[in-house]
Amino acid sequence: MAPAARPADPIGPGWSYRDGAPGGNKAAGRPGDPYAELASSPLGERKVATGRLAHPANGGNIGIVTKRHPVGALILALIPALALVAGLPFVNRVDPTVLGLPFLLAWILGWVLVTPLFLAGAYVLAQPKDGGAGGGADR
Amino acid sequence: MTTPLLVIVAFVFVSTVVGVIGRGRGTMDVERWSVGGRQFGVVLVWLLMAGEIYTTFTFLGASGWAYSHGGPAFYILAYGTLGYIISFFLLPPVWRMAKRLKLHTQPDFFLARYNSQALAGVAVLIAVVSIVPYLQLQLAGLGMIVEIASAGAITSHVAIVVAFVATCIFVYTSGIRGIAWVAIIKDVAMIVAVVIIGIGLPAMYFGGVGKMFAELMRQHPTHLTFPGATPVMGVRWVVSTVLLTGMGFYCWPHTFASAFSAKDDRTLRRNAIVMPLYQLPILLVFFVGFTALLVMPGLKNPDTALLVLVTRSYPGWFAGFIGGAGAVTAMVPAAMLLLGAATLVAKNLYRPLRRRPVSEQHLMRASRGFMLLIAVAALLLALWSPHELVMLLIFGYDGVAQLFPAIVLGVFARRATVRPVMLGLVAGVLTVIGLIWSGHDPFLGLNAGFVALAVNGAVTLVSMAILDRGALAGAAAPEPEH
Repeated sequence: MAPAARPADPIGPGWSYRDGAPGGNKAAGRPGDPYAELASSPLGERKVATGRLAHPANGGNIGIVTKRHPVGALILALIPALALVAGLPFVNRVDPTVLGLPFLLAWILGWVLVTPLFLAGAYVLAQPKDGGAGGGADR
Repeated sequence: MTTPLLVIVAFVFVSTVVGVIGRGRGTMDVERWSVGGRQFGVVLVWLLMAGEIYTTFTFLGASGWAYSHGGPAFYILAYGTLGYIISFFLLPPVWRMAKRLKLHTQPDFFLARYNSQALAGVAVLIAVVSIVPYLQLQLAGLGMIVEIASAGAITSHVAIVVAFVATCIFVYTSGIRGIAWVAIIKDVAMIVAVVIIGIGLPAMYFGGVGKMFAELMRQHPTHLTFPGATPVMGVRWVVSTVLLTGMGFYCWPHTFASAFSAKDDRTLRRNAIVMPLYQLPILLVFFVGFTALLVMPGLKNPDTALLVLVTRSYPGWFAGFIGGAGAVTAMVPAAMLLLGAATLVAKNLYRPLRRRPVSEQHLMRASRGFMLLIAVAALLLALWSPHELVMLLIFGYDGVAQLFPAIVLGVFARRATVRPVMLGLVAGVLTVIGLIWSGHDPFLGLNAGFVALAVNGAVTLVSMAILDRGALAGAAAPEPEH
């Protein structure tokens, strides 16, 4: 897949479908696209336009395309969350002061400041490894 | 006209003009009005999300709580960060679904995912009931800011009415794009104001932030920990409140729907990475609240601490600048709330309830009509039903966070169906109403909304296991754990 195609196509390389339902509706759109049936059916498009959202003919729920998160990304993001929630009972004191700030405030502030680093790490880990090449290999 | 008054009026006027011009060219339809045609990049999305999150509450509520409660105010720094961490995982899949199905509102999401008009209707009701106190908070704060900053030249009621009419004008004409432009003014003004007073005031009275804290710890040794100056807000209250409000963060229909305006899902993820840093102004606001406590203890209304200290310490034009920045800081989130509430009432209550098909133009007119209606309701409440600012915010969160299980299961548990989610939602809402009305908030030291959310989650999961056998096996998806 051409790299240029990616920004316009959120369901691009490296995305996978949790329900893993490839095939079956290939004629209707991209393989495995859970919305393909909906978006392309004459009923679906018209109903969306009038605000009554349509559903697949079988009456089932519409699944959401979730990207697979490597465990590493989840763990990285969990660390600051735990520090800011479960950590609080253990830091409920003013001593020692850090740069003039009472300890409790310094703890919370410190974790707020490093959270972007953890999330940036999670962002990198959650990126598709193919770097633009080999699109769709993941499916 | 006095100097501060001139500055405030100029602020409100310029913001309104920018908001009206910000609509851009072309005809307005609901897609453009409510989600900006889904064309917003990192900068505009950032402005919007910051615009609705950093509110008058940042100015007044945070300093008021630092002043009157002490340590428990720190929950404000923690919960936002937790909210962004959750959003990192939650919003991109939501956005992808919204994009494919042309969703505009949060109830659209419930309707599409759970195929239940009833659930969407309940979501609208919870959302509107939670939005009104939040809107009221913005208006009450605005009135307070302008009245004090103008040294009483404009009374709070006049300020509320004038600024709110200005807000309605640019929301009416320009929708979300106008709001994003006004948000630029707001963000710049607010950050400049907060940096100046957050560093300046402690330096002016104590020669620095560190010295101010040293003095505070000497005079009030327990003020800077939990439960601070309050009898009930101990560690359990703070932890449960951080969890409740962190999970509720993106449950607000307007924040949830502002994610739809992003042009791709990576934009949302990059936003989640940088947003925690944008909370630093709150820290500076805490400094002001603590300084105020030392300089002028015993204020009757702690929410006014920041403003009273500013007017006492700076020349009139600067007080006007703070007043103007504060007014715009209330107008932008109020605009977002109005837009969000109006779109969802029009789209998710009005249209389904009308038996005949409703055209796009008709829907656009209806959205604008409901916007004015909600505006009037909030205005009346703000004028005649005063409340402590932070408590209004927490009440709103109590209600709106009950949507969290429905959203998370909707995204990550493919087999979750409407009945268990609905049962949990009803159980949660009844619990929170019961606890608050019977005076049991906090309950066993925990935030009542959190207790209700736990009941909600438990009922949902148990009824999933009973009603939809095998559903739990499918739900073992990687969920952002808290």
